[in-house]
Amino acid sequence: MKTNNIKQLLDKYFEGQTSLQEERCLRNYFRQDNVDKSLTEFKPMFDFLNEERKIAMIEVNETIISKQINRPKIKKIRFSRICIGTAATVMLCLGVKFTFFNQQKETSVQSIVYVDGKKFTDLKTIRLQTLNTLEVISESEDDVIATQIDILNSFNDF
Amino acid sequence: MTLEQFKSDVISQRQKLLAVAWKMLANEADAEDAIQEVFLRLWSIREQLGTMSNPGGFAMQTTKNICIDKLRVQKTTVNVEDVFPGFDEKTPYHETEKLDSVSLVRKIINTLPELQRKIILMRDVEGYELQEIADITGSQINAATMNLSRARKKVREEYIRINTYYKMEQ
Repeated sequence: MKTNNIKQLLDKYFEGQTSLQEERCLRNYFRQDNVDKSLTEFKPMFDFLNEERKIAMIEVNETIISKQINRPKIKKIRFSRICIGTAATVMLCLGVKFTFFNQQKETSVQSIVYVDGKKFTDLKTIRLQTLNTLEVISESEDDVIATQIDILNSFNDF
Repeated sequence: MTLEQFKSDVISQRQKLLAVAWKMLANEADAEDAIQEVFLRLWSIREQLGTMSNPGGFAMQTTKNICIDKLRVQKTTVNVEDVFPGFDEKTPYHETEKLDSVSLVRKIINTLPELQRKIILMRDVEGYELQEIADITGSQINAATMNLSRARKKVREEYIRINTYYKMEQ
């Protein structure tokens, strides 16, 4: 970048009028070794800023890594488990359907869920089992892979 | 705590806090600076602030503490004695030659008035937009720009002055 352009940017910089992008240009210019002699007195200030920004980036990355280590492990759901989960949901729906339509003489509507052959009629258990099954099958392999890519990309952003 | 929550829970108290600061410092400009420092300090602990039951009350206490500090503190122009302990213009302190220029800039920034120091670091190190700094400090963008400009110019002037003196002595 030409020296005159840098001088104009510096004037703007000390007036507080530069954009973040223009300040990035200044920091990049002063990062190099062949700074114009008329501008060398400004180099230490930008050397300080480049150093502080590097330290700040390291701290941010360490925070991300620390959060990643403490993050609950994402379950890699095998395709076989997805099939089992899907089958369980189908069974659940069929069970509810047959129960509802076959018990026409009954005056009260009853919800039932069968888990491993056991019959449950309380609504809380039925709701929890339904939610568990739906959560398992909602985590497809694609969702797991996409989540991992997002984590890797967050490192590249710095 | 997000910026929006910060504005709603803390910045919204600005007038009340400014009234207290003005009463304590008896000076409008100092009170304005104090309030901006309060908001910057609270912004730096925003995660803890989000868990407090009464962030407004905490802001009030912080305002009083900062005003008390300001009343105690002496004139805060950059003093080379603060940058180089034992420095005397008649008898240069030779160990200062060992200090590299980056350390000199760091020391100069650390001797800036607190508000200017925080704003220059928020902008030049952390990359905050001026509007964000204005929002966090509860001030207008012109005030944030002015403080940033003053801070940068001060660092430039002091660095050139100290560096020029040592070159003359060598």
